[in-house]
Amino acid sequence: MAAPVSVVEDAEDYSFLPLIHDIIKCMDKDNQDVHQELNKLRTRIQDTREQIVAMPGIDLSADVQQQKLHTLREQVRTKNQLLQKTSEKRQTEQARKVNRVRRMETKWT
Amino acid sequence: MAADKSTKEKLLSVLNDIEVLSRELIEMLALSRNQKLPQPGEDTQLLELLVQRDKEFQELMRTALRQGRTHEEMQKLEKEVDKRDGDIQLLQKQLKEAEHILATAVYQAKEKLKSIEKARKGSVSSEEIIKYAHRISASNAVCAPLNWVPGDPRRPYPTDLEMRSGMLGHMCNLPTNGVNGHLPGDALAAGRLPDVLAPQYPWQSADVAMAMPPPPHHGNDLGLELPGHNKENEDDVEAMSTDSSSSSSDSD
Repeated sequence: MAAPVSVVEDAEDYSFLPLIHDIIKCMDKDNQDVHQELNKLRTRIQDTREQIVAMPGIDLSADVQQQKLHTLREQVRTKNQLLQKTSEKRQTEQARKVNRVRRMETKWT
Repeated sequence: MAADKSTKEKLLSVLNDIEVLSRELIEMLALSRNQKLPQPGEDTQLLELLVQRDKEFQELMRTALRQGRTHEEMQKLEKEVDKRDGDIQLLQKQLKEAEHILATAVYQAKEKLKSIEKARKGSVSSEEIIKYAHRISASNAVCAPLNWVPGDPRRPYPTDLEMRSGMLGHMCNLPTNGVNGHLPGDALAAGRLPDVLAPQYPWQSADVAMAMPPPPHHGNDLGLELPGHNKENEDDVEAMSTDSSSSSSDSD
């Protein structure tokens, strides 16, 4: 199994123009390294393809992903509100019960 | 339709374009170099296209990186949603249990209210109960007089006739006029007997009669054997008359 390909943060590193430029320069100078440069470009393209396949979260378009994120945030907010409301009600009920018991105790004493 | 394509598809498509364009450009340059024919228009066009695709690719890569971070956030949110769902389900379970407990409590309370209502409808005042207690104890039917001694005609216990007239006697279908005769003091008590046994109060129903236990020394041989004249029974009578606890006190 291939090791996970690390995602380079700087998107500038993904430009292929410097490599192509090197190849053209080698061709201009009739340099024998042109084949090596061509191999470099091929390998780079292949590596980039593998990286793209392994990148997380890009199976959706950016817009759709944003919509899903919004929906999830809404869900969490709603559920939090519901739970908070219930716990508040519980606390109020508990306080009311305690007050009632205290009142009865005072009445009896 | 292009907007619906995923970022991955777009990236791979642009990468393929870059691969094809770069190959074509290099081939074209190599061909023109071998033939020594400069074709400035076509290779410039290819180069511009390549630069454009490269920019597009970089922009898409930046978007992909942002989407990666968003994906992490989404995973965290999904975990939180799952956790909240668990909390809500737990709460729902607790609420269902509480509902069950409350339903049981309400049912029991309703039953109690029904019994209270029933008791209210057939209510008996305490004064009447006390009056009745006085009446039945005045004839010495439930307790011997304090100064009772053997030979005293006042009875320390119900007579055979009284037992036969009671509910237990009726249940056994015994004749009211006993074959065994009366005890020595029965004649005195006979005049008061109807007062004691006559159903003059509303609660003198079968329930009340059933609830009254038979005198201890009649036991199982009710109506078949009349104890009374022998010495052994006289001792029992003595023991009863000295007993401080009376059944009249139970009727409170």
